[in-house]
Amino acid sequence: MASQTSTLPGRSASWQALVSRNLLMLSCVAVLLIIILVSLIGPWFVAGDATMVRPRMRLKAPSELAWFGTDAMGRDVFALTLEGARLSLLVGFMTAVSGGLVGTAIGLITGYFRRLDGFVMRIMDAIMAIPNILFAVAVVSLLGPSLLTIVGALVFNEIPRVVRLVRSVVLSVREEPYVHAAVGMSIPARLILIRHILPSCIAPLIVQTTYIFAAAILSEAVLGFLGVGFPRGTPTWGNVVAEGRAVFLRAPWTIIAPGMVLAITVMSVNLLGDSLRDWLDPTLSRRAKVHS
Amino acid sequence: MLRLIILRTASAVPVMLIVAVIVFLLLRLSPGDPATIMAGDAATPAEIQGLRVSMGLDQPLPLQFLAWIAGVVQGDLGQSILSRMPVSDLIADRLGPTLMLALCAIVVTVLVAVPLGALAAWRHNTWVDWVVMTLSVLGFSIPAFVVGYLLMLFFSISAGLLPVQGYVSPLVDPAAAMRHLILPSLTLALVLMALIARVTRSSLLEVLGQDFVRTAKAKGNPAFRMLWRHALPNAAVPIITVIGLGIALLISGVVVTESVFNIPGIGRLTIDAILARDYPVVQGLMLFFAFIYVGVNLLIDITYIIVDPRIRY
Repeated sequence: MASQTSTLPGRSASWQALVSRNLLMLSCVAVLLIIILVSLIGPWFVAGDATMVRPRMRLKAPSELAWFGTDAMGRDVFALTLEGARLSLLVGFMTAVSGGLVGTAIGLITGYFRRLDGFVMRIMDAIMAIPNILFAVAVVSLLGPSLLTIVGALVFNEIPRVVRLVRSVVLSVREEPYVHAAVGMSIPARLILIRHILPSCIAPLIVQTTYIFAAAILSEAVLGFLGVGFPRGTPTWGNVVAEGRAVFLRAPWTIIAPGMVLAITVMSVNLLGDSLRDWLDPTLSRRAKVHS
Repeated sequence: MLRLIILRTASAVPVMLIVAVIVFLLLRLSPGDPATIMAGDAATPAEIQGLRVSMGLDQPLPLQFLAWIAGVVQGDLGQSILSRMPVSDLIADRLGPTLMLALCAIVVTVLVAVPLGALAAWRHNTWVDWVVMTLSVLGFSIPAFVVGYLLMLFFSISAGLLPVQGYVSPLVDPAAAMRHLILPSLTLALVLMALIARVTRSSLLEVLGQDFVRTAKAKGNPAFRMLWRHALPNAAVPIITVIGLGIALLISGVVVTESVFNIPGIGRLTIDAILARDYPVVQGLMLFFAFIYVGVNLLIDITYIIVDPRIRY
């Protein structure tokens, strides 16, 4: 379903296939919009302050009063999850956008100016060789947890994949006649890159940034889980889960419930990426989806 | 061919060197001084300064880097600030559990994901395909720790079938070791299975559309034989290619899985060392992980060179 390689690829497929693909895309968008909306109107949606400590309500199982139960400090896990969605989604969004922008810039330049290519690509290989999670844990714990360090560390990890993608597009597009024509008319390189080459990169870039968005949300949760995410007490999905670790045996909902919301969100983003890929560029869907 | 192999191997050297520079700079540019940590709270400024000089931390950064890299090349990764043990010994001590875990996860992945992916391709566009692909997206999307805790909840806490956490060496008690490894390997294998099933499916789909498969079918080969003998071997190359990516997933997964199941492997060692700011250990481990990643990718490329005579750089 997610990455159909039908015998008639992309737009030429039967209209039923097109409708069902767009149906998937639309339902993913709907799920994400609901999660974003609910996280924004959360304070009105759930009575009381999410971070309020209620000692008498400690570790209560899920009920109609607290849908996801309560944590070790008596806080409503559902309210915390809603609050946490904002920062987690923000981290995902910022990582996707800045990773996409920086990676595109490097990819355009290294693909077009061939002398830089060998050196830049070796650096990209090196970054890919360093385990993502460990690099992020090291950066965040050494420089101190903040939005800047967390997003920065995650962006650094994602850049090589964007660079490789953009570079591969540039390498094929730069041999097209219209680019040769532009070079022949002595149009400056930066204009050629932006006006003539960049547009070919947009479709695969959109797909790639959705995957980065999903990966960044997961990474933030793992950072929180390992105890090096945002400062304790800041509601993010990672921190909500991290607080649940100590009481998991007595109150498994403290991890399972926010974890499931996280999984649904990431899954919607991944499926959205898959359907966007099929929709925007039929030839892309023939390749295996490669992201982590 | 030999020339190609040597060239490809040589190209791994600058990559590892850049890794070393990144890892070195990352730890030197951060606030907090190893000498201060090592000297302890009671140390006077003079003692800290003495330690700094004896550790070479007063030298310019490039000299420090050269001194460090010279040791690394000779297999000396330095000494832990906390335990004063050589970093290579620390890694060797903790490698066993991680290797066992990774090995089991890889076995589980190959045994489960390749057949599932093949099944999905063979039954393309049916509910079987749909279920396998949904599970695959789910595998990519659900955090490993949630899977780990869910498995623990069902199999250890509710059913009481398996131990909750911990690690037993197979040299001490093989049966208990296996029981302790089942849930962690499943947790670690999940994202790998998602990846391999997906790639197996898409690669096989491409092969199944080719003429020789039609011929094999027309000759009356049974479906299983057709898949196993004719289609899968031809679909193997993309599957082998993603092993490189799989190694990266495996390393990240090991860190999380070892934390969930309290396994004393190198993933836990890394997190502990980072939190304790034990710089030499962190540097050594990051280099070690990067070395494994680069090494595996190198081996994959060399395999291509040997197996496929068309490959020329």
